[in-house]
Amino acid sequence: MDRTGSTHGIGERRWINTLLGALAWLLGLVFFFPIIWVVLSSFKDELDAVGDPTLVFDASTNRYSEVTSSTPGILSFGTAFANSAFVVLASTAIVLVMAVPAAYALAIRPVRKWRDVLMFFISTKFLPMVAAILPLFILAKEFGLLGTRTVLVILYTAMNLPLAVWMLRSFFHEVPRELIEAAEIDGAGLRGQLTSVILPIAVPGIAATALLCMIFAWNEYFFALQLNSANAQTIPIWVTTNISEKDNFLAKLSAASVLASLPVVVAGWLAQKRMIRGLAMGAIK
Amino acid sequence: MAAVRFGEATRLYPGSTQPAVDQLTLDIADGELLVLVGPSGSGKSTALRMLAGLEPLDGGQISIGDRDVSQVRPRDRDIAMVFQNYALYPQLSVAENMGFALKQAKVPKAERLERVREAARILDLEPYLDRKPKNLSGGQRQRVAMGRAIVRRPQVYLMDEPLSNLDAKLRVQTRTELAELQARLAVTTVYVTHDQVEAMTMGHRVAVLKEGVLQQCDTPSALYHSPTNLFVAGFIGSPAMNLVPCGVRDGRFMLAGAAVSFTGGLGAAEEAGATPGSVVGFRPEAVIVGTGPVAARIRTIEDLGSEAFVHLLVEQDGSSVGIVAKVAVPFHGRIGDRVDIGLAGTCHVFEPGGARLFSGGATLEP
Amino acid sequence: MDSAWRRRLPLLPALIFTVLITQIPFVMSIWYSLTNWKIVPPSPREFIGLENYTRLFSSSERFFREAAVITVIMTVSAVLISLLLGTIFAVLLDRKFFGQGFIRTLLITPFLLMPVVAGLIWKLQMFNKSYGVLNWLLEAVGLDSVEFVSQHPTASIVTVLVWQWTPFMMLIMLAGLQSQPTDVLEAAKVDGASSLGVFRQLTLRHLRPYFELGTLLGSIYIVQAFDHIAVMTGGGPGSTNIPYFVYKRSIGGGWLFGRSSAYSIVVVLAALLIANLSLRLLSGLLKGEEIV
Repeated sequence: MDRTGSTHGIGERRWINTLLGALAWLLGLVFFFPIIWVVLSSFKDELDAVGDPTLVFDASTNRYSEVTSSTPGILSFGTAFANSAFVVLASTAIVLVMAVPAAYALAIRPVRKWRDVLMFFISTKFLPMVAAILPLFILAKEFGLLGTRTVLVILYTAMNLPLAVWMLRSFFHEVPRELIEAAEIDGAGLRGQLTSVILPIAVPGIAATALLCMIFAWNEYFFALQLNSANAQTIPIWVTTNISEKDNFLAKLSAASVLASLPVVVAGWLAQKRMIRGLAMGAIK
Repeated sequence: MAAVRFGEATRLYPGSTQPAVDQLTLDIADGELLVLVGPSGSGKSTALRMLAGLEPLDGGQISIGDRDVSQVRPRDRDIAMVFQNYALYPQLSVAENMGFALKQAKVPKAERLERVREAARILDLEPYLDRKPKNLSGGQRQRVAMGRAIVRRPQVYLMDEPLSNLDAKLRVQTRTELAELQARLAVTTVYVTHDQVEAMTMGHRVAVLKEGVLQQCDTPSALYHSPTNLFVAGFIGSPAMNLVPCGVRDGRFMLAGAAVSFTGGLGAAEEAGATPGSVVGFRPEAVIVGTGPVAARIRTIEDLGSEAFVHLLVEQDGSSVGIVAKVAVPFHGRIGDRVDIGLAGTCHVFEPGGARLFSGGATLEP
Repeated sequence: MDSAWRRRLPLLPALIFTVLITQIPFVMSIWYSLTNWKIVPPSPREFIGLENYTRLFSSSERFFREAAVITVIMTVSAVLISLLLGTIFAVLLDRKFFGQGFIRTLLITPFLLMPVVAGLIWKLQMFNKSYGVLNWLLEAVGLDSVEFVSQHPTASIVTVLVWQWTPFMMLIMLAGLQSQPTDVLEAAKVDGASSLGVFRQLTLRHLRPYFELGTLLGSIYIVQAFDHIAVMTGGGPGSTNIPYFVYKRSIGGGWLFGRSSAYSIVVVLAALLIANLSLRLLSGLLKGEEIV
């Protein structure tokens, strides 16, 4: 995309380009509008937030201090953030530790019937999570894991592992065979091949995969709600605690939403180019 | 340093019925540069990869020195390989690339540096030791790949089309340097190429493969002058040998209405074997343009400056047959001209199945 | 053979973990589904055979069937619309214009939001009858305001799903567009094809596997939509899909563990059927990858 000079080819009409560019801007802004609106609401006071839509209001960060201040007995932002961070990082790390060798065994030195194995991994993504929730609930209770961070780490690992295997396999598949063979002749074993040759080349892909796992884990609500409502609640649960039955809560909820989304959104913004490659290029080649 | 032996080595890819390499038996002497050559699909790369241990054997065995390595892992075979695309580790510097294998073998750092430096000196790579492969030219990358092999001081070098990614001029230059280097290091080398000129100029001996089967393994000169069959005759030499299917009349081979007359001790006995469908082969330099019993028409002329090749058409049994002649320059004919041609030189006769029946000096008689 | 096991070894941790976590609950569900286990009122767990399954065809289970229909409507419409919009966005973004990277950044953002937040934004700040932006716009042009979420629950939820999944489809299609070999496009230009002709005859065909991938991945996630429904309608009429229905009948308040396990098994079987069909499509994507 880093072309310079004339941006339109010979015979391409400039006004069409301009028009399509303008259309992209228009659609982009319309699409993004709900987010702008929430950000605006988060700086309003509660009455402005439910009043007629306006761009003129007294902006303050009071809502942010309100939602982050902790009240004893009520889930605080800090606790939820710590829980989420732990669960997301731990599950993603475990996913990578298992998915990297698996992807190696599917792409680089493939086992027989590697296609079937890959299909098995993907097919588990079709199993509705809700169908498993009752047995999982009972198992978690049985093992004393109900309401712990451990149960979420286990489940998010299971949730993201197939996707990670699928994506990493594609990235590993792109590592030139000759390089791996050269490393093999040069005397590198499995670990040497992985650490010296494959991983450095596949770093962008691994980063994209890890990011996607983190997004899905950070945003997960269903398991967090069902298995963890007691004392290891995560950020999505915390967001919903800002809904109030009796008072106006829109501005506060907006501030909470912004805070909850910010880490993942910023990470996604920074890694968007890698994600484009990661999501599809690897997956299809 | 070690000799290499393929003993009826066979590789059958899963799902295929025809072996990629079929009972290859080949002895490569200590210090020899042996070239494996053949068209794509001939099994030459597979044979090399079998020697490297990158392909398992489905039959036979391979030994390096006195050791049967058929079941030995690549890393334990004491070999070094230069790949077609060089296979340089992109995230490592030139020095790290060259020292990678030594590091894997846990060679002490001081010795490692010394050996890398020595190889870099041999290959003129000293100024580039800290660069990454992506910041090198094609020729430099090729030398790094060579360096990586040299540093290891292995028993055998394996080279898989190492020059095919260089431009034409650099390829010719590197060819010479590589041959010199190999002679100096005197390490047994197996070299794969599809380019028969490369094969002929570099190889002490050249093994020609076709569809997984070894056709002939001999010195370049022997391949050129006594090809064992039609395939080798057609594959070796540029432009290729003229191969013309012949009629037989009165026990003699007939070429475009003229009889091929063998001289020098070749009697009626050989010619008695003449069967219709046999093929007569002769090199472009055996064709005389200007005098002779056969009428031809000039199709094109390739003037290379030092010599010229004239592509001719002759009438044979009602159809046109192309013949290439090598002529001295300056050549004054023009496209479309009619010229008379004759033969003076070695002529090979191949039976319809392809095997060579006999060869000998020959001329054409009306 | 030990070399075969050496190849398999790296695969085993992931494989064993996945088998344990996905198959044990399944086996447990099968057992529960053959019982009349329920919590309210508490009653002993008794084996009742296939009764829970035969019930599914009776009139008392029409809610399950309705949920199935809603699931199909939601999934199909959300996947198709987001695929279409995603393709349009991708085509617009694939050409150079001022602020290209910025607009792409804006467009991918909804995908990054947590479904709970997305659902709440739309329900409370876009769709809401008294202070939602959409209704304010409707009134501005002289129309009556609408309580979108309760009057059009399915469409409301599909809207939010589309809003979140369009960026995902866009990323996939963008990757597809950028992987087109330029020499082919240039050859087509030299051969006299118009831009539209090139798009229809070459680009669309090139994008086909990307459409398939988008459909597959999108369906996997959208068919399981739960969070949006939980925060937007709480599973009111017209918005209860199968996941939400099963949830409501089991630990979401129904406590009919035996019966809801039977639903789960049916859903799993249906999912496996769909998976089988989709994976056949997917193997098509993997073909041509020659690995020895």
